[in-house]
Amino acid sequence: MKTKTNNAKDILLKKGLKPTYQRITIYDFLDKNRIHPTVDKIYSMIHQHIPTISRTTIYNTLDLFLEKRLVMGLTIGGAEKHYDVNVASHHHFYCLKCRQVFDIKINCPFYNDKHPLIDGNLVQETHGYFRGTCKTCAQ
Amino acid sequence: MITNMENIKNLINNKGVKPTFHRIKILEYLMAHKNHPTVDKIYEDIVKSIPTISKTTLYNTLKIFVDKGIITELTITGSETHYDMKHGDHHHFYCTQCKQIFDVHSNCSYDCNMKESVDGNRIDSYQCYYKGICKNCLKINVI
Repeated sequence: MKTKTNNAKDILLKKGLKPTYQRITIYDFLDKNRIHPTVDKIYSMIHQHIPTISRTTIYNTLDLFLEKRLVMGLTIGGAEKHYDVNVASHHHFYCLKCRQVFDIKINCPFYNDKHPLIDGNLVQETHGYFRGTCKTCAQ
Repeated sequence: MITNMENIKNLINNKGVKPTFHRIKILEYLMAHKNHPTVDKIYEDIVKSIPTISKTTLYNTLKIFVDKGIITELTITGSETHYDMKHGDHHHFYCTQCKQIFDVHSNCSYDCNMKESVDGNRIDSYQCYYKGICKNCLKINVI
């Protein structure tokens, strides 16, 4: 627990962010629970630990994390953003039945670490979304 | 001109959708404007030629077109949905500086022949996009 918190603190500091207790807790939660949660999910979980936290703080913190590329905002569901602490390029699958988002391994030739340019445009993020029925729901 | 209307009518009809005047006009608009417009942009332009059209009709029509696979919806920006005719398979690029969305071509195997499943999960739809800085904005940044 201690080391995790220290990690989160270091990561925030490295990005030039003041490591407030709220920010550390939110980052820690995302890091430990890689379930691509929505803001509502994050709020309901964090609220149990910090009952005084507001939704605004969560929104502001996530916006800050997005800006500093600490998290990725996935628009796979259409209406709500899902947050992912894994900022390395990878694809996602969204099950229309169980509404779960999970990682898919695809070898995209344009993942930014290998080929930063596509048709002369600089790639900073790659998003690949599949939507359908996951194998668990298909059974 | 008449044949164009006929073509659009047939396209809608073939998908099992009743080709009403509004639906034909909306699809005609999307076929002519391939710049990935948002609902607001479509409404703003269409209302000029059909002043009685409501936003609800527009929303409902777009939803039907998406469900029937005539158009695709892009959730690139996270705040607004953009609409695009289904015209071959391609990826999109979203420039975070000028906010433009345009088509790019990558040699993705999921793009070309639309596989049915990935890791055992059945695919209904697929979208892939890149976020970054377009070549025009890159030039401006250098200068």
